[in-house]
Amino acid sequence: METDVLVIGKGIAGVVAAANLAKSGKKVSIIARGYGATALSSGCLDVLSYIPQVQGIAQPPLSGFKMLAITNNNHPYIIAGEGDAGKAEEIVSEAFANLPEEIKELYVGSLESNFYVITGFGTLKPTTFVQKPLEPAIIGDEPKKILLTGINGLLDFNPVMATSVAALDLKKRSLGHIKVKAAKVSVKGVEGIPTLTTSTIASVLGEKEAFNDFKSELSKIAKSEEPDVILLPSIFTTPELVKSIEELENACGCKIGEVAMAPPNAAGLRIQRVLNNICEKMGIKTYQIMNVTPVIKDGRVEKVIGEQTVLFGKTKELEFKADNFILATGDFISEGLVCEVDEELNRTFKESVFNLPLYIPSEYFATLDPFNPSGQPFSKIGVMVNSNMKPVDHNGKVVYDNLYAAGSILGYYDYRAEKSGMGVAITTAYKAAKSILGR
Amino acid sequence: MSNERFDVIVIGGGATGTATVRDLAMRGAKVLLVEREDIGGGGGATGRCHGMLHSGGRYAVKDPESAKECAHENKVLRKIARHIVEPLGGFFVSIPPDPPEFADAFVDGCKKTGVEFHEMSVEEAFKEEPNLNPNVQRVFWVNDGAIDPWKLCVLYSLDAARYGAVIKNYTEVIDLLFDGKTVEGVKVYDKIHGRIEEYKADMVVNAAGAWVGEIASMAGLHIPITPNKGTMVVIQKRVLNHVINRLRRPSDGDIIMPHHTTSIIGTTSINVDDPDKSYPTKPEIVKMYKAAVEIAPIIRHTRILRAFAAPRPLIGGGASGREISRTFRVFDHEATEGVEGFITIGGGKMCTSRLMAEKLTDVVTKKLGIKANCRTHIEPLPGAEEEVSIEELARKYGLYNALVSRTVHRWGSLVNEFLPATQKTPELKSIVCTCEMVTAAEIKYALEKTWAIGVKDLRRRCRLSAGTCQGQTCSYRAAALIHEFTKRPVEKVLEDFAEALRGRWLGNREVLFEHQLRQASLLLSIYNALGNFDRLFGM
Repeated sequence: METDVLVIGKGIAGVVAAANLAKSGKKVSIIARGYGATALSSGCLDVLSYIPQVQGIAQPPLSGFKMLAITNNNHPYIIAGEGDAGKAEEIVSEAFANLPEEIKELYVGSLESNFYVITGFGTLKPTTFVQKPLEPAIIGDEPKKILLTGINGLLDFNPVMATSVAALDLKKRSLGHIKVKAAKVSVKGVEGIPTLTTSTIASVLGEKEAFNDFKSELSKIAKSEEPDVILLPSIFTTPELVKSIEELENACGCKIGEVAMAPPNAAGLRIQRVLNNICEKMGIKTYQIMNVTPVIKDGRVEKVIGEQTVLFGKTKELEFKADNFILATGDFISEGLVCEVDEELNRTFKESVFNLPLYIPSEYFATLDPFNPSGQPFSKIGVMVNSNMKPVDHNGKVVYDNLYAAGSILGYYDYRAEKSGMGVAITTAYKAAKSILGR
Repeated sequence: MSNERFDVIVIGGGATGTATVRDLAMRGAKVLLVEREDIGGGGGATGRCHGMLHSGGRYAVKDPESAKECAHENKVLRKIARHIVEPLGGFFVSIPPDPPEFADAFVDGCKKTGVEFHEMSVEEAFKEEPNLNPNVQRVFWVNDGAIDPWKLCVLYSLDAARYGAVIKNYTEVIDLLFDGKTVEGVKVYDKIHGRIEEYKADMVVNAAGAWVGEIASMAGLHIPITPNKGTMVVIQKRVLNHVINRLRRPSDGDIIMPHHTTSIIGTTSINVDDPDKSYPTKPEIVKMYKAAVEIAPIIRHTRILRAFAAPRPLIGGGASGREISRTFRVFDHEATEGVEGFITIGGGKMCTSRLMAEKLTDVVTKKLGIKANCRTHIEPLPGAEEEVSIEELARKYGLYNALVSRTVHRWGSLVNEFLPATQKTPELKSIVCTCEMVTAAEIKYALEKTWAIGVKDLRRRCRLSAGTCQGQTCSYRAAALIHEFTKRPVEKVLEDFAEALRGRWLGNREVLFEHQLRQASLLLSIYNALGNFDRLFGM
């Protein structure tokens, strides 16, 4: 197969890069193992909420770039801005302005401000964009009475705990104008299922009878509690279910929304579905490929050979030739990065497709606390790039002239501590596409 | 000051302490147990041991006294605690360069100490253990097994409570109370309620394991105890069907124990100064791991889940850890130092805890003038009284066999105390920990009836978070249920939750690579990128 650009990885970074290129008339294909870690995320578009070792949230998110440029000028945002905080702000704005319409339609929010959203744990998470079903979970300025409503048997959202935690967190952050209360509702047909998940609930609610029953249960609770908002677990997986939220709101006389949740959750599935739709609509061909071997010629990536599973463990080889390649395979979670050990249990970190040089901080497991607000050194392990998003070695020399990298495979930042994962993915993907287009 | 007066106060909720409380209570004494951490936990030797039900084979050559005790207690525990025992059987295998002459000494030792054994042909052994190193030269079968040490302590305590004993975990002794030279009670800090209390008794028994020296020093006494660190490595899955021991003098990493859903590789023996600082180090882990790969090469392809270390309370000092006997000793401070009302027990092993308790209780009851005889070797522990049918329970409560089977393996017939509640409240069937298959009903029972308070206690009661994912999903689910079921204040529950994951992290960080690093990355993403707990706890 021959294409202008081959993207490796189908998470948000891969698809955003591919879409930007396709929009400009490039022929693009994506190869990926499966869905990226995007489907495992909360679906929120975090841009930048915290700078490690700095108190308080960055408000607005891009205001943190000046500090980033001082504390960590290798940060992908700053690199994308060619070392300049102002330019970095511009490129982020540009990247978000150029997001595919399908993604924009899914979200509310703006780069003008970070806000808190209530999570399924009950904690407040600062973020920049949330999917529309989460809009009622945003903590705004106006007083609100929120009813955190769990579903009997669903352990991943315990409304009693979430309410207590939310009350504690709201108090800590002086947000006393928001009141929270717990409620529980039953969904007929899921009682006593030992491993009840949000997707099981979603599929049951897809049936008219179960949905109507749920609606009447919910409206009873709304009548007695009179909340401004009812927040449910992340169950509105399909576009039809998302549409049905309005019906629930009419029956309850209040806003209905979802909390931000850990996987498996509807928000992760919604963004992944949108990414798939974008590929389909823009004619971006996608291939499910297991093992990828690059072929290098004259300092350039000539092609990659991928192994495709045909049937019952049988595989066939596919060749992908392209002028340019974008690596967006993610971090350890999606195995863009791997850590191997020898007999002595000495670790070797590797980028799994091209074996690219990696930035590896010293003492990468030094942190004794998984909740260290400054993050974990090992999270910063990743590919080093120049301002065109081309991977470079430790001397800053470009590794392969037609190879680009984007998303969480990049080094020098800890998206968990910063709450910056999606923002970095979108920005670096956009920058990689832009570099390929020569703009 | 509490007005309640006891006959005996036992300090220490490890295997020795809980076994002693049970024995004393069964003989009619009014007893109080105080433990600074959790029952069977506390960072001591019981909470972090192999869980090996020794046949005695390991000590047959060098430590005949321990071998005899183990052989005896092995049989007793298979009766009284049969529901928490896995009668695996053990192999002693000789792999070059193990000295061939050790086999003769082993045979001789087993015969002398009454340790049951027989030699197997190597072919026979490979049929049962195909993953063994192909260079195995000789194999001896012994009656080793696995026992859940955490549960053993809980069952001792539950039984003691049935006989009227009072159990107080998270209650730390901060001083002893005296009347002249006579110890007449303890001053404790109740960590749950945050208050200081005093309790009086005719006798105070010091069964604080690696910490007996610290307690004894409160009475101005010196106990020659050597805290000795044993490091263990937990790997995913059970790669072997038997307990495998090397046929050589006990040394590092020569045991592999199948244990519940995992296998445990052990152990080191290093004398340490401070029992509170028993952490596993990288070189120790590497040593364990390489030794285990030597026994079963397949371990090279098995995920390492975590490592942990515990201080054994060995009696004596000076010598290197391996030279000190694993037997126990009762220190009657009245006879030796003239301090009345105070007895210390040191040394020993989880396996022989019941026997130690019996000897100790004989001394205590004699002083108290109690005539009753020991019955702890006859009476079954709670849950072992009757057989339960897994199929029948599964049918009755609409649960699947695998789940009921795992639950019964943890509780025996005690499942009848919590499974019925699922009929009225179906959401109690929800599985909180999918790796170990722990239902909400089991958690509710553990919280209400077995002194469990936090997430870590649920690991010891139900094995919650002990499996492959190391608590990724279940830790918070469990924390939430603790808050919901027990109304424990949310600040405390969050503290427990954080501490539980911090504890896991300490045990995991040295072995974070390959899949386990992937798992840890996802955990951090869930709790920090999404949950923002890093800023909630660390703001």
